[in-house]
Order: sequence, then C-alpha cells, then structure tokens
Amino acid sequence: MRSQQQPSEPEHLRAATRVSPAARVLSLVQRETALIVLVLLVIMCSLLSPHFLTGNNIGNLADQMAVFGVLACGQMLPILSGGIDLSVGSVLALGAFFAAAMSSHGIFAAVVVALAATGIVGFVNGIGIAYTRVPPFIITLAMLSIARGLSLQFASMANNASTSGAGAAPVSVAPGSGFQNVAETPLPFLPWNIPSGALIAALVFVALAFVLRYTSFGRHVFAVGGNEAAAMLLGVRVHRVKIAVYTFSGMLAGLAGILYASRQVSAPPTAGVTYELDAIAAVAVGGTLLTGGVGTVRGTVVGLLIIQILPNIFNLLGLGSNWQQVARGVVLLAVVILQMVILPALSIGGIPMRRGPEARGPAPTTPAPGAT
Amino acid sequence: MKPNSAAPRSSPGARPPDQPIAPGGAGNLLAGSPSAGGAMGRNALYTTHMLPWLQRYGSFLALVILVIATSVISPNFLTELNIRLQLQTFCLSYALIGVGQALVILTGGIDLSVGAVLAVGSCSAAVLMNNGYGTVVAFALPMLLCAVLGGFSGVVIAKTGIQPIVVTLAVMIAARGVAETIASAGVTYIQDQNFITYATTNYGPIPIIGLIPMSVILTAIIYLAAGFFLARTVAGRYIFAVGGNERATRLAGIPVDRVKILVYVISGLLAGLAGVLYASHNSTADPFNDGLYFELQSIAMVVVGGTSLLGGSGGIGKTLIGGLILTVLYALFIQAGWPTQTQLIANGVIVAGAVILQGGLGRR
Amino acid sequence: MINSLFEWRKHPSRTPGPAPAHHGAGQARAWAAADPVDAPLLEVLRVRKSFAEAAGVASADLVVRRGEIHAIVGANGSGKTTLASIIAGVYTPDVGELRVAGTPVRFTSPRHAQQHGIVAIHQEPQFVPHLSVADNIFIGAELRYGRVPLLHRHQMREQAAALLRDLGATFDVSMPMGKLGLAERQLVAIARALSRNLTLCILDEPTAALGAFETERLFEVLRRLRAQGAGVIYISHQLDEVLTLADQVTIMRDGRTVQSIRVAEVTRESLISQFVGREGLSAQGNEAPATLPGRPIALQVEHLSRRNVFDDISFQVAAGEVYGLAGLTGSGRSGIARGIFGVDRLDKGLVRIYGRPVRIRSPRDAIKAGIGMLPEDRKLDGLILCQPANENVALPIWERIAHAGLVTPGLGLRLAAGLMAQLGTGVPQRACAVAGLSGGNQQKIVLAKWVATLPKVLILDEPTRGVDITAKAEIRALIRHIAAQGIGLLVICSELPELLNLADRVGVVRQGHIVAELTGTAATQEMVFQHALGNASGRPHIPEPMGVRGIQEQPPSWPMADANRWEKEPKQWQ
Repeated sequence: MRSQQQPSEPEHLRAATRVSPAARVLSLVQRETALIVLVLLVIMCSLLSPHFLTGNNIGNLADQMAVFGVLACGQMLPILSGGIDLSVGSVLALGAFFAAAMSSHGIFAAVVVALAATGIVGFVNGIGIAYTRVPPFIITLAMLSIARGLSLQFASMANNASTSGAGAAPVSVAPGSGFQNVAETPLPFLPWNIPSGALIAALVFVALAFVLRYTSFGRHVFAVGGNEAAAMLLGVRVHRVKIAVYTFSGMLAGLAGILYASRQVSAPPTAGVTYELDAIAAVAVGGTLLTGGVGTVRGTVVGLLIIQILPNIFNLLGLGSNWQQVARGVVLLAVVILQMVILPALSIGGIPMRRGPEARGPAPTTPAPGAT
Repeated sequence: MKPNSAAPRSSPGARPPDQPIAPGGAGNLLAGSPSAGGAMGRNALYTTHMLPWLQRYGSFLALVILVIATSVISPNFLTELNIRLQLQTFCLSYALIGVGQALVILTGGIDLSVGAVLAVGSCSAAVLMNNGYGTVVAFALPMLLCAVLGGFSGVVIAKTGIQPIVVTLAVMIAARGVAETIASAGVTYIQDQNFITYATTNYGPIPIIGLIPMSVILTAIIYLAAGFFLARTVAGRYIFAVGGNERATRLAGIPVDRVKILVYVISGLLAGLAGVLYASHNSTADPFNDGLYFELQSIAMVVVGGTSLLGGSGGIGKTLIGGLILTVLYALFIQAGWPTQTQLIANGVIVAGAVILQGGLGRR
Repeated sequence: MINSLFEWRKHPSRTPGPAPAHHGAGQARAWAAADPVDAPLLEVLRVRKSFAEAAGVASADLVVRRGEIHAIVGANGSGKTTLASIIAGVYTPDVGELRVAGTPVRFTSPRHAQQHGIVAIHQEPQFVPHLSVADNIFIGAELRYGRVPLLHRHQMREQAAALLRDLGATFDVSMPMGKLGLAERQLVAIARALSRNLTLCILDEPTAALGAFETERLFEVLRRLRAQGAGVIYISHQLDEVLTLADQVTIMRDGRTVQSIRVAEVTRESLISQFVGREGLSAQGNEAPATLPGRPIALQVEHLSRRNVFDDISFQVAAGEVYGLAGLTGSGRSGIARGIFGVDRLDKGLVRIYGRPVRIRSPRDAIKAGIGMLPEDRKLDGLILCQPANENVALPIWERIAHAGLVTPGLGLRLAAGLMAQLGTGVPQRACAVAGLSGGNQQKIVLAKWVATLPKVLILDEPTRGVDITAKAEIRALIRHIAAQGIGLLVICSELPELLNLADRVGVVRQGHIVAELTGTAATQEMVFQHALGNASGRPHIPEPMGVRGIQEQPPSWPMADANRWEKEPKQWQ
C-alpha cells in the first residue's frame, strides 16, 4: 500500500509562495496602475500649466470632488457586491430636493429627511434586487427613471406650478438657514481654501475603507461579489447584504445631493443627470472590478482624481471640451477591457478571473450528481 | 455586475408538464427556473390555461383596453388628426430604435447607447445639411456612422465577452461626446427647408386613412422588413437561437459572434436613421438632450410587448404593440392632466414590473 | 501561540454560531441535551431521493458511529454523491429519515446541516477568489472582538495558519485564494471544515488532487478527528486509501446501499465484485462485432493530448462501428470528446476522417468535417428549451436547407417530421416547446438534430443519462440504427451495462490515458473496473478544461451553484 516513510514537504507547496522579484514588480504595477497613471497625469498637468498646483486650483478640485467622491463611494458598494446602481444620479437630485425643501426647518431636519428619503429609495432597489431575479442594472435603470420623474414632480409641486410640466424649477435653499455652510465653510486649519464639503467626503472615504476592511459586513460584501454561491453556502446572508448595500448607496447619493444643494444653494431637478456614469467610471478606473469582489477605496479615490483631472488636461492641451466626454467613455471601455480581458490573459501574478463560480474538473453533470 | 450565463440553469426535480406552448413564447417560464416550479404548484388553472394565453395576447388586450380608456376620457382621441399626430410622435421618437433594441434583446443582450447614438445621427445630419451636402448624404452618412458605432459595441461584446450593459454604457458615454463634438456649436439649427419638412411631409389622401406622414411610412416599411427578416431568414432563426441558448447554438456550429455583431450594427443603423428623422422634424439638433432617456423607452417598449430580456422569445409585432401601448399610455397621462415627468416614472415602473412579471430572470 | 489544531478546538474564541433557526427551539434543545453516548452519530434510514431525470438514491441505509471513518464506494451513478448531498443538507429526502445522535432531523439547507456540525468538503470547493485564505476559512463565522462587529484579523490569520500547518501547508494565509492551485484549495477547504464545530465530516474524493505528502497529512488529521470522537464519511474511488484509512465501508450500487462491512473483513477484489453485483455479472460485451473487417475507418485519432486532461489518445472507429469509452468520472473521456469536436483546444494530435486529416478549431469546423456531438448535458448544451422540436432539429442545417437565405415556416417542420419518421419515433405536438418534453424525447430530438447534419462520425456523450427505461431501449435501438447507416459512433456512457450492450469495442480510460481496449466477451464489467480503477495506487488527474470562451465554466459536480434556492422553500423543490 502506501510507502511508510514520510516524504519531506514537497517542492510545489513551497514554490507556490516563492515569487520572483520580477513578478513582484509586475504585480505591483498591475495593482497600482491607477496610481501610476495619476502620478503621470499630475506631472503632465503641472508641467503644462503653472497654475495647476496652486492652492486655489486644488481647492477648486476638492470642492468639485466632494459631491462626486461621495457618489463614487456610494457606487462602490453595489459594484463590489457584483451589481451596479444606475440610479444614483437621480437619487442625488431627490436628496438635493429634500435638503433644500426642508432647509427652512434647519440643517438637522434637512439632512435627516434627505438621508431618510434616499435611504428608502435605495432600500426599494435592494429589495427588488435581492428578492427577484431581475438583474441589478434593470432595477436601478428603472429606478433612475422613477426617481428622476419624482424629483421633477416634487419640484413642480413645491413651486406650485401648473401641471403641464412647465414648473420644474429649482427649489431654493432657504436663505439664512445656514445650510449653504454645510459644504461651503472653508476649513480654517488648512492652508488651502478647501471647503468643509471636502472634509465630509474625506470622512466618508475613511469610514467606507474602515467598514470594508475591518468589519464582517465588509468581508461579506466582497464575498457576495466574488462568488455569491459560495458566500451563501458558507453562511453569508446574501439577501441582507444586498439590501444593505443598495440602501447605503442610496443614502450616500442623498448625502451627495445634500452637498450639492449646499454648494449650489438650490436644488434643480435636473441635478445629477449622467453623474452615475462618472461615478461608475471613477470606481472602475480605480481598480474595482465591475464583476465585483475586488476593489479598494484608495483605488476609487485615485480613479476619481483621474476622471476629474482629465478635463483639465484636455483644456491645457487645447482640445475641445467635447472630446472630454468621448474620452470618458473610451477610458471606461478601455479600463473594462483591461480588467476583463488583457490582464487575465497576461496573468501577471494576477488571479485567474473566471466568470461565475470557479470550476475546474470534468464536463458538467446534469443537476443531480448522477455520475459519482 | 455578474456576467450573464448563457442559458438557464436546469434544476433537479422541477418536472415541466407536457403542454402546448406558443412557439417562441412562454417557454422561459417553464425552462426549469425554480420560481416556475413554485408557481406551478399554486394554481394549475392559471398556469395551464390562462398564462400561455396571456403571454400571447395579453399585450394586445392591454392595448385595446388602453385605447378604449383613452377615448372615453377624451372623445377627440380617435379622430384622424389625433391618430396621425400620435403615430407621428411615436415614429419620431422611439419606434425605430425599438426595432433595433428588440433584435439586440432577442439575442440576450441590451443596448443602452441607442439614445446617444440617435444624438450622433441627428447632429451629424444637421451639420451635413448646414454645410450643403444634400439630403441623400445627410441620410446616408449619419446612418453609416451610427452603424459603425453599433458595430464597435457588437465587436467588443462578441469578442471580449464583457457584458453588453457595460460596453453599451461606455459607448453611450462616448457617443454623447461624439455628438457634442460634431455639433460643436451646441444646439444646431438646420437651414435647409427641404430637409426640415422631410419627416413631416404628408402623403395622401389615402382612402379611409387619410394623410400619412412620411415618418410613419418609413417606420412601417422598416417594421415590415424587420419582421420579415426575423421570421423568414436564416439570420433571423439564428437570432432566436442565440438568445434561446447561446451555448447550444455555438455547439451547433452557428457563428454566434457574427450574429451578435449584426444585431448591434442594425441597432446603431436604426438609431442613426431615427436621429436623422428627429433632426428633420425638430429642425434642430441638440447634442445634449436629443435621445435622452430614449434607451429606457425602447427597453420598456420591447419588454411591455412581451419579449423576454433573457432573449430567445418575442418578436417585432410584439414590440410594435408595446410601442403603441406606451404611446397611448402617454396620451392618457396627458389627457388625465398629469405632467410629462409622469412618463419617466411610468417607464421605470413598467420596465421593472414587466420584467418581474416575466418570472424574473435566471441570471444574476 | 496556538500550535495545535486540536488545542484550539477546545478553546474556541469565536462567537458561538447561531442556534439552529429552522428547527423549533424545543427540538434543538432536545438534540443538545439528550446526547446519549451510545447513539450513533448519524443514521440514515431508508432514504430515498429521486430526480426527474437523473440518478438519485433509491434506498439508502447508513450508520456512522462516533469515532469512525466510514467509507462509501461504488461505481459511477451509484448514488454516492447524492447520498452525501442529502446528509450535508443540499437535498431533502423524499422518503426516509436522518437522525443525528438519535434525534430525527430534517435539513433545509447546508447551513442548517452545518449548525448540527455536519460539514461537507466537495471535490471542487467553492471559494471567493479575491479574498485571502484566512478570510475564506472564516467567512460566515468570522472572529470578532466579543460582541463588537469588528474583525479580529490578527487572530483569524493566526488560527488559519495553525489549521493549515496541521495539514502540512505553510503558505501565506494572506494570499488571495485565487492564486492557489487545486491541491492547496483542497487543503483550505479541509481547514475550513475543521474550523467549524465539527461532529461529522464528509469528504468527496478529497485526495484526487493531492500528492502523497498531503494525503498522508490529511489521513493524520482524519485519524485525530476519529480519536476525538467525530465521524468521517469518506467517498472515494481509491480503494487502496479506503482499505488503509477506513474502519467501515458501505458499498452502493444503483442507488442502493448494498452492504456495509468492516474494512478488516474485506478485500479489494471482493469490493470490486460488489460494485458489479450478481445481475451485472451477466452483462458482457457483444459477440464478435457484426461489422466485417473490411470496413473503412471513419474516425482515426492519433496522439491527442491536452495538458492535464488527457494524453496520447489514439484509437480508430470504423464506419458502422460503435466504440465505447469507459472510465471513472474525471478520467478525461468527455474531454476527449470535446477535443475531437473542437470545443476544447488540443495541444497535440491529429484527427482523420476517412483518412483525411482535418483541422478542427471550433464546432463549426467539426460539423463541416462531418463530426457531430451529442453533448453530455442536453439542457445546457444540446437544446434550446424555449423552442419547439422542429426549430431545434433544423438549427445546424438552416444554411443548407434555406433557399437563398430565406426559410419558410414549413421547412423545418417537414424536415423534422421526416427525420422522426425515418428514425421511427413520434414527435409530440409540433408547437410544443421542448422544455415540456420528457428526457427521453428530448434526447431523441438532439439525436435527430445531429443525424440531420449527415455526419460521418457521431460522438454521443451519455446518450441515456436522465432517460427512463423504455426510452433507453428506444435510444439504444436508434443508436444501432444510426450505426447501421454506416456512421461511426463514439459513445461515452457511465452506466457500464448500457455501454457494454451498445459497443462493439470498449476503450477504458484512466487518468487521461487509454489503458485497455476490450472486445467481445472479454468486455465485462469486472474487466472494465479493473482497468478503470487501476492496480497500483495511482491518482487520477483532475482535468482543467478551459472551455471555449463564451461557453461558461460549469458548476462543480455538487449542485451548489444555484444557491438562491435556499432562501425559498426548499421542500417544494423535490
């Protein structure tokens, strides 16, 4: 039968953990592609224009990025879980509306109501996605339309306009409520003119990173995105995770709406149109796989910066602003193709990315294991 | 997003009953999906007799009910003038892209870029006309350009296996930019008088029907052609097959990639044509707002008509009915005094509702 | 610093798992309280589970005692995995009862079974590829700081490393799972099972991917589990391992547990003869083949190989001959078929059709060359379920029968009707989607489809799987009829009596090689088993088929993939 001596620990087990230096470097490049691209872009920008790294410019950038940053964080959760949320742009508008409409009752009321309302919208998304088998993009695409319609409707109701739809005017933030200070107050302790909205966004980043890394909920989100079947079998409450993920996405979109309303001092019902696409682009460029299961907040921040700096570069290079839009789409497509096709093919220390549950082994059996 | 698996997973123990099903219809409900198993047990009468009938004629019935309801609320609804107006509105907005969307959905994919591609069509037509290129060129070139955009989507989807949603989403973003680049001046007014009236020219009078706008004729021709294409050509058979079960179709030696690329090219082509007509009718081209939300309307139209988002069942006739249902529904809203944003809400609810009613989908 | 696996098990620092939520509270407590030492750990009483179209369990009885390693052996299709699935909570039995420590239980989901301490380790363990090894071990039962929902990552890493060290693995637990090879993943799966509160461990072909060293470590762990009083169910084809490791062995045949016997009282040969059974002994190969020696060679394959799947495969199939491929699951038979048909890429080798070499890179090429293949999973690969029979039958040949690219509605119908008449079968209502047909009828439609392509060679992968008895006979007759037309047939079948009945010659595949070719009366089940199981203690490769891009990877052989089921009422699910 089996030989009696104990064979020493086999080479292949040790080999699996030994990685050549070249492979290490390549693996690092692959993981930090976004960061490298960002650094290159920043260098390019500052070479092309002396104004790029001034306090004003950075302050402006930070200001713009507050809204998008929160939105991208909100988008990151559904994508990590293997889904997507196309409704965040419209939900932003809803959040802005509620914040502005309630601003006359004070900042606290405005924030709470906005977050609650958008949380409910996200919750509805989550229920639909968790309990029906409809793909997330359909549900959130439908919600995009519904939420947009609702925000137009609320806006016209708030303005007491005629019902023929002509009254979708922006709802103004109540003056004197201090609401505009939510996002506008410059932080006193920093040399640059960075408004507090940026601080809020930064807090959201940190909080999300913490949750993803240090709580079991975070692990579960990755698990659901990585291999949902395995996750369910291993005891993860997949449905709860999904509902939570979309609820948070809605609430963060609401927070983005609050920041938006605070900056603009009004809530146009057309706010946030196509913002969801930028959020998705930022998340994807930052290294989060659109199939889910992989991603870091750090990456999303980098991706966001890249997406925001690109228009700057175009301006500096003299390319028309129209090409920016094209570039956005092309960049998103290129990133997705890279993620899905080229990187696995090159397999530079990368993880073999199979679609669906990892399966090796003989040809499929019919549902019952009839063969063994 | 999880990639779609190519075929519904079969399930142990779900024993589908032997019963006649409308060809190309209702099969998805019985294709071994677990929810079907549960539904079967609950009400045999419903599932055995009513459901197939509903699947086949339900949308038509809904259309009839809607027409009756609307004409009750508004006696002017069924006048010749109004019908012409409604049809024209339909044909000038989402009728044509609905055909393309239907073909794409039949293969199990989806095309989110149709709205943006429509804008590319309208903007390029406007620019061409304003630069004196003549009507023929103003029709042909935009359609060609949009077909290329569609082909690009199709090639990426077929060859890389990335999900259609993602690819067409990216193309949507890029196409919107292309439209903005083409119409670099923003909203572009078309000077040529001939072109402007092209879409709205009325032909006739034809007995009973009266005057027919050009756009309606064109749309009708395209619907007939598409219907013929689907039902009577080999390519049409292949489209149904790919949507029904891509794996099995590939194993039967069918060139699945070519089929996929074809449907996206057609979708782009029709979106381009729709864009040209749109520009003609409005006599302007707006790169920011043309075609906005049209993709959702085209999906709604296809889904309401009874085509399954999984692919493999449905048809052009059903899509037409779906489009007419939406048209009448919007007219109903207007008659009832509801504002236009209700359409947006309705679209969303309809799409979600119809898809959920289809028994959900087997994929994630 | 925790060194030993078992020390840790005595002092679990994780928050206790939730109480079984699906039982009534009273029953759960009863289970915990009334825990008589002498009651067997697990009893399976007259359990029956049947599926519409696949092998199930006809009647199984099993008793696993505390501190026992209990092996289950049997041929393909004998129901071993189904039985293990039932015990693990994947399925609920139609009839019969499970008892854990004397108390009847009814598992509604694998999670439920896990709460009772029953953990299964599959052949293809499911993992989250991008999470680390430690995360994968503890997912669903993460270690926290007391009640605060914060991960105690350091402790998770330490304990994971300890568990793996006991199994002889020293790789870094912070590595993402996807980077591990199959053997390492198997070890992690075992470590994961061991990290839960284990009373009964089910292992299905665990050593298939493991080398000698890891196997030995695994055995040590299993023996220690036994010493601790846990039970182990060990399913394997490796009879040598079974004889070394197990205390008790149960033999299954045709869905029944035939015999349960102490390992000390059994020999390898007696085990194999039990696989076959008395009735099976009479099933032999056909008499000398009816085909005359002068027939042309329809299919000739030379030195086919595909890395990790099969190697140096050469055989010939004459026109009108039925050549069978026999072997255990995982031996590579389906891989060979897919390689010939162009689904999987061949690394090396040549395929000749009537002597002419053909270059096959895709199914389309294969069909053009005159090869057809009836796939193993007809619902997934063979049929378009929502379409009627005529559409399915005409699919590969639309181009051939269309006039100038146009088809008329009657075209496919006439073809299908004619074909069915020729094959001697009836077709149910023409407008019926094939989803509504029985397995036998569906299989006939797939056959008709391939016959319609006028192939020179037809590959049939499990033609009688999931088909009832009468339909099996009809399909057998059909196959002979097709062979009589001069088509060369390559048949893969896991049910040996069927295969021996059909085939003129049988090639036995083991570990990706053809180890024997049996003809005539020499082709008996025993001989096939001897060759398929091998005399020495070799281990079969686990093939890694890459599949055609666009054709999805398949779920593992345990039907875990469609896990959404567990949230609905699984009882409706029979």
